[in-house]
Amino acid sequence: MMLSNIGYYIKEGFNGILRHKAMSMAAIISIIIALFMLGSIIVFGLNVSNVIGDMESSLEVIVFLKDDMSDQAIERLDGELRNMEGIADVRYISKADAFGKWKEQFGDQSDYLEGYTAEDNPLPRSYEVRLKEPSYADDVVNALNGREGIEKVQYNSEVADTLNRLVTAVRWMGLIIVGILLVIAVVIIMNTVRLAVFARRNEINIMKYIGATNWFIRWPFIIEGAVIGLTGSILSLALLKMLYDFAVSKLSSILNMVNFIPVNDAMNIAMLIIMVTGIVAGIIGSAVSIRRYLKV
Amino acid sequence: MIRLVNVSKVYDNGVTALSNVNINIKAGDFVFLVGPSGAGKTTIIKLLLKEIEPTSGDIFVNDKNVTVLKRKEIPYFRRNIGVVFQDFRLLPDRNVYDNIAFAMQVVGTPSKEIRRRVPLMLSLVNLSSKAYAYPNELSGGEQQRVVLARAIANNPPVLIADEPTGNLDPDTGWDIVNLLSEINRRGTTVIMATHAKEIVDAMRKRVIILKKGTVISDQEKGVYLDDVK
Repeated sequence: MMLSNIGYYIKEGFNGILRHKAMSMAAIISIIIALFMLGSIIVFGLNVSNVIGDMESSLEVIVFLKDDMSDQAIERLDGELRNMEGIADVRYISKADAFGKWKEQFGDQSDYLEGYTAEDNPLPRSYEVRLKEPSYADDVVNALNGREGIEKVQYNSEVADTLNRLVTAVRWMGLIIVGILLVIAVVIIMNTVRLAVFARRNEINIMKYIGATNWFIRWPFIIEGAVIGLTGSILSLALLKMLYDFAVSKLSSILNMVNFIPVNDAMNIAMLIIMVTGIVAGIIGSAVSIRRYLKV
Repeated sequence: MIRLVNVSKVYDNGVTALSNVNINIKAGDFVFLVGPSGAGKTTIIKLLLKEIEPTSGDIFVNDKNVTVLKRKEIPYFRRNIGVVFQDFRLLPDRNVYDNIAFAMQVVGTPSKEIRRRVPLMLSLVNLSSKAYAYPNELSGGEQQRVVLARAIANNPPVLIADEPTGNLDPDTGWDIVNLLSEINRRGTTVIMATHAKEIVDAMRKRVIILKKGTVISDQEKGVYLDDVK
């Protein structure tokens, strides 16, 4: 690349876009559509996987204690639990806490605790143990089961398994769909750029007769492809951000237990993929499609 | 300057376009290449531009053997030859000035030199007033004059014109031929393929007549022989 020509290449790259406004617009619009589809799937997938992850981590191991367990024994168990591998958080539920929770859950509809007080009731003391990951569940449950002073260790492993498989399935599905959309986006972008190059095959032909080197002809097209790709990706990103913002604000009140990924976090992840796809496809599209017209 | 030595060309479809052609053109010559359609004029021009390869024989331009040029050398080689086509081939989306400047940008001319030289070219072909017009706003003759200006913008030692008057009315055609003659007077070797008998006969320049792929006549101050028509 001759250094003195860089200015010409960049200028011609932009001129190419301005001289062929309709063609460039068509290219940018199809890039926006392709990348917007891609971005939507990415953002959707991220949220689904996030929701399932939330559900997973809310699954807890509950350790019910016998009423006759001594305070010292409880203290020892407490220490051990906190040092156990794979445990994120340990919460002690006293009889009073349990009583409060019961009341909160069933309120006046239940007369099961009629006549009991917060200090004196049949509800057991317990530990609520939150795991770092569901895969630690087996170890934790096995370590605690049958220990002295422990009445029962409860963990819903079936739900955990199902969620676990769901997460894996969703991630794979997401990857596959993103992969397919990525290919579609690249093909659409490359095709559009190819049409733009085809429309200008005479120009390329004339340049060849005048004695332009192949790279001299190529560079403006490549820059043009990159600029169109970049423009398309920025616009599709803006569109995606707007619609995601809107969707989150509308859906948050309806699906109040769903924790949406904040718009900026979602965009950061989508941005990288979208921009790289847009620019790379634009560049490759123009570089590849120009090749056959250079053989004069 | 330009030599074709025992050049034959058989196209892939089996058509023999040239058989054993020998032509020797000196620097500064003005040569008409005439003959009926299919005689091989266009094939010779394509060979000189290294658009196609000869089946056998050697071609020398500027004492360089064109047949052994590598692909990468072709662009630099073509800068020695200005080309004018029957169908003009201007860039429709650039104005006259930019079409000429473009040819100079291609070969890496500094923009200062381009700004100096384009107006000179425009005045040479008498189009200074149309510098900012677009090709579709020009008549055929004006377009061909822009093509001429573009072809000589880089001062090539050779100018090849393939039926440059083919799409023009006789008067306008004469404008082009007079310009070619003027360019030749300034030292450029000019090769013009043509059907225009009146022009060839009036100019009294060297005439090479081709028929069915062979040179049947090569005369200084020649005329267009009627029997080849």
